Amino acid sequence: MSGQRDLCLADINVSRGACEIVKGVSATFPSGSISVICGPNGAGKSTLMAAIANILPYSGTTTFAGRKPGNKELSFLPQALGLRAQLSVLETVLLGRLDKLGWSLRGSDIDAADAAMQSVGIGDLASRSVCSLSGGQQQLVLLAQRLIRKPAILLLDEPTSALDLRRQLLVLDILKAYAEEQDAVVAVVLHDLSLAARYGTEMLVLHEGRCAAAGKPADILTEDMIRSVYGVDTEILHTANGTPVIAPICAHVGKPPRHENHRAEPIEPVIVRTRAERRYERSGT
Amino acid sequence: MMAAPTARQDLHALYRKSVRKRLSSIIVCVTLLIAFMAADLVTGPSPLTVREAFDALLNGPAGNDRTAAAIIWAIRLPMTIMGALVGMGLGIAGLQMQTILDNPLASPFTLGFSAAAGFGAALAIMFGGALPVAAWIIAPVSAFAMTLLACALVYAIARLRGANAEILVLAGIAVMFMFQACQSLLQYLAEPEVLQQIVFWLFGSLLKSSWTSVAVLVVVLSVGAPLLARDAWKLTAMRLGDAHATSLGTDINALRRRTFLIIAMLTAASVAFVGTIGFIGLIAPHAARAIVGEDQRALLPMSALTGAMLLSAASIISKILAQGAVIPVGIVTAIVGVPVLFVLIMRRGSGGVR
Repeated sequence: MSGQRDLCLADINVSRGACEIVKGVSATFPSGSISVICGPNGAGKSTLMAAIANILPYSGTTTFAGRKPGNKELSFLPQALGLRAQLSVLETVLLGRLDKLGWSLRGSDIDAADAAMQSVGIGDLASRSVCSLSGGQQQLVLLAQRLIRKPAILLLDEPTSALDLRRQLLVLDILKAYAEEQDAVVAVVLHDLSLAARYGTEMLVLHEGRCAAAGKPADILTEDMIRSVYGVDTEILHTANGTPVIAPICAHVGKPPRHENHRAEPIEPVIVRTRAERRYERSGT
Repeated sequence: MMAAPTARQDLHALYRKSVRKRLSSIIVCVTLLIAFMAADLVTGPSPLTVREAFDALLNGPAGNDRTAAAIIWAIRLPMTIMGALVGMGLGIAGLQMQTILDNPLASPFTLGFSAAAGFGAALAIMFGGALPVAAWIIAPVSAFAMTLLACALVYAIARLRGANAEILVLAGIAVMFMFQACQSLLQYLAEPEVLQQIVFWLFGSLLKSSWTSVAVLVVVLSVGAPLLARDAWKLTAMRLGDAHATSLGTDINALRRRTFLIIAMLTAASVAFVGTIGFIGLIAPHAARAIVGEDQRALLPMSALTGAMLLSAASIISKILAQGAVIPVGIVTAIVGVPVLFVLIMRRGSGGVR
């Protein structure tokens, strides 16, 4: 743990208009691994990320390698929206090197684009038009575009939201490898708590703009925490190597109970069995 | 890992191929433009044959056939060159207006520039007589000044409230209605003969071209176009949307503001001399996009070329339509432009990009 190259947030407050969205969040995202930011819709995840990326004004401090990180070392991938530009995938990926591109391209620009495209597995799409791609493919193109910059801090807002299960895992594997190889800070907003637990070394859970929990996923992902933040009853299982897997049981209707104020009534877990499971049980007894 | 080297080579070859394809499109369009300009030069109300017209052109302004030399060098050549230059100016201005406003319906006139220019010209036509300056100078200068005033108003609002697309469009619409109202007021108050002159100015006609107007436009284009070309990649990145462009390290507010200033100069210079010529600035960028895609390194020159081609074609048609007369080209541009627009819509419907 170098510590020097960690990204430290101290008392970050962000407002949009008159509305205070992020309230006094402090956290540390270590380099060399993935940190995840979780929380229900409207918790302030995207706002916090845009603030760290210097896109929204904020109060508080961010420190990286002893100073405020600049746009050179930062790269932020906002939540994917449909691309409408009639640009080829190659051109779109090249835009990642915006500050380095001249009127005529150098061989090294194309090599860098090639490497980035190969790493996310879209090498065969190079000449396709980005606006003709599916949402998931566009997400991969934009990821390649950010990787080509080789940023020391990579911030991604729901990079897996439009991806199928296989590509979700592939993208998170790529990000993990990138963090390790470049000793980079990689912070990712994820909705899937099980994926967050599997890939995140550090986890920050936001609730109504505040930090509801922070630490190692295995320590903070408790049924109580999830109930108070998300208003969902869950059962936390564990894989053979101890990674938590979150199995949802039921959602509370209405406003979820406030964090730690009172515990929800213990409820009877609803056990849902598939036909195959029932057949298996019958044959077992 | 064995496949990587071949894939890498492919990408270089692919890029070279796309560059060649674009270059050849540009060369074809330059050739077509030259052909259009030549055709424009030999058509006109005075009965010069093609042969006579080219002889007069080759013999220079001091050629032996005085009439032919005067027609070609003092009337037709400035008109032809002005047509191409105004087309280029409007094509480029339209492209960047669509880029910075992120709106395919934007044109150089979206932010009230044509209304301002029209008001400026009307003001000069009505009251310019009182000034000790020739009328042919005062109208363009006044139109130019009013366009810049409209630009300054929109710019000031963008400066105060942030230069995002909605603010710019709203400010532009406010400015447009203001100048339109002023222009209507002048038209209402004008004497019939003056009103006729104002209406004629508003039609937009290349007949008002002169070597002075050509020189002014050459200067504005040769300053504006390279400045835009310098931002080619950033303007391309803007097409990904504000959030992506910003996170790729572009200061989009500053980029929008400086692009907007250049558009204002290009538009003001284009319309000040020849009057408002609509449709070119809307349609030329779409045609160019259909040919070369949205990489501004190719799209910028291509928009200039398609704009110039469209206006040259419109100019030829304006001279052929009525025997012995020249219909104001501003009326004809839409007639030429609409078929192009239909073709573009049809192509888009079939899902093909390039």
